Amino acid sequence: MIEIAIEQLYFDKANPIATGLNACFTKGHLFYIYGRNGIGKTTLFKTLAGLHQGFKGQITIEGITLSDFSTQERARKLAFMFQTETVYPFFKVHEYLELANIPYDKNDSINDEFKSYVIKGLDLEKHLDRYLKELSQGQFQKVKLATCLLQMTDYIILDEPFAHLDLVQKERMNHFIQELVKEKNKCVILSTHHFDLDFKNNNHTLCLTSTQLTGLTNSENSKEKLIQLLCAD
Amino acid sequence: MSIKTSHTRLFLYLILGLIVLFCTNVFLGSIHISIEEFFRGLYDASSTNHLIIHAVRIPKALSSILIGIGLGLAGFLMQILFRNPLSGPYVLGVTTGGSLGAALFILGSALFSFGFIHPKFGIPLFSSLGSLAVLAMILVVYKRIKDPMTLLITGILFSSISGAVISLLAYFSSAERLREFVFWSYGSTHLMNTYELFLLALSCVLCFVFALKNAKPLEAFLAGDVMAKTLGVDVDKIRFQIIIFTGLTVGVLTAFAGPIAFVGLVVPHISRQILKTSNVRLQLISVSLIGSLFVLACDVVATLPGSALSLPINAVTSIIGAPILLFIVIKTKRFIF
Repeated sequence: MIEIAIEQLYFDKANPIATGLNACFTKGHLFYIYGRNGIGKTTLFKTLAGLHQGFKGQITIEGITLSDFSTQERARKLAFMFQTETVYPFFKVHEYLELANIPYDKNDSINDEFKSYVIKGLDLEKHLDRYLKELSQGQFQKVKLATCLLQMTDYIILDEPFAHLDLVQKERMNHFIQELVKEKNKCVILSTHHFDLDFKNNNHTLCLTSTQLTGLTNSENSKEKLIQLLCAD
Repeated sequence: MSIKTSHTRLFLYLILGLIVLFCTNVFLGSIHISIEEFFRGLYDASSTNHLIIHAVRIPKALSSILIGIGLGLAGFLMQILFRNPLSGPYVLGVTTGGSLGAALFILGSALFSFGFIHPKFGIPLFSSLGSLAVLAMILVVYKRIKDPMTLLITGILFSSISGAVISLLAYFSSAERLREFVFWSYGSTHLMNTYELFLLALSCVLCFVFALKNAKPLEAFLAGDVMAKTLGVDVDKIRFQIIIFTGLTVGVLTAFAGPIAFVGLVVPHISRQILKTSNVRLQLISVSLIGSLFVLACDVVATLPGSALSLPINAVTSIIGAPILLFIVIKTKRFIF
């Protein structure tokens, strides 16, 4: 379980970007986080991944404070798929996927069965020998997701995984993530701007505003409530 | 990861090329030696050519190889560190620091009375001290600001300052001293004794082993800083180590061979275009091989075989290196990092 009790999230202490964020993320559940542009979704994710130190409060993973993890231990607990920076063009897809081995020692490398489950699930088999620069944005998005999943962590944070995907690919990726959460008992937290996603009962909707992280119950009018919250912010 | 047959074949060709160039380099020199005399000279200690081959040409070829490996590796690591295709061993200012040290010794000896130290020890000693001083300053800056771009700018600043001090020293020194310094700055693969060769080899080996041990984290660097961090790589630590290892290697190289341009910049580019891979282990091997080939070839040209004259190696590496880089840029339409 990841527990957060963030009083303030900031780049500069005088102007916090968000305050009063409390939440609990458990395994076997999928969390969709909505929020307006610039509200701090990415900063919140970076904080959870240990890449942003500007916050006041407490973050624990399975009872252990985030800052007490070594970088390697953290990379075995929690994987983070971030929005793209430019990438070295001579990575082949299979070479990029192998980066997921880095947090592990030689002897305990990635479970082959899980590897083929992910590659098949994301429909990447035919791209394995291609260069990243030859892929479309959407295909690259899937490669990034696969690399993140192959890190074999219990907790997975995805920053806008559905960006650049067409309607069909988006729904497929969404279903794959839902299946993964249920079957492999993972905890996935993702941010998105899509309202048309198909929800399951172990899925949760959260709305990030500048003053709180609000959980919404899955009911008929939850979409309207979400829009109301986003507009009020 | 399995090494593909195409890579094995490529490396075999490169090694073959290296052997051929090594032999050519040893065979050709300012004094013409016929093939029969050459083979006799190799084994027969009483032959006059024995001394030429064993005391001059083989050490010169070996030092060319080591210079190529050292500069190639340093350039490769620098380009990963700064994620910048224009990075080379000189960007940190370490080479210019070495030059400043040498200038202080050669040009400033009248001023500071270093005359009692023999130039054979004095130049490498002062050059290493200069490189180390710049390296130390860079590390102090890096401890405070952990940003590669700032580091790059700091390196350029140190280079400019060193360059300015060298100009000042040159302005006030005698023509004879100036000539000596200019000759040093042309670079040289000549006259390396066993001890110098050993130090050079040691620094290359250390740099290679460091990079090999950290091949996986370095690959994560290629995928970007954030990626490396999320994969649990201690980014700051690896950066610090890259600075130390490349700084020392370049320091030792500059001390013994003078500042040699373009090798560190162009070799990683050639290697990337040939290999087209993100695999750091493969790139380390190819950068070392291509670096040695490049300097050996430049050295053959610089010797102007059969003539009593020889060209400065530094000029030859630039004259050959720059068009190659230009060709790569035109071919790929951009610098690829």
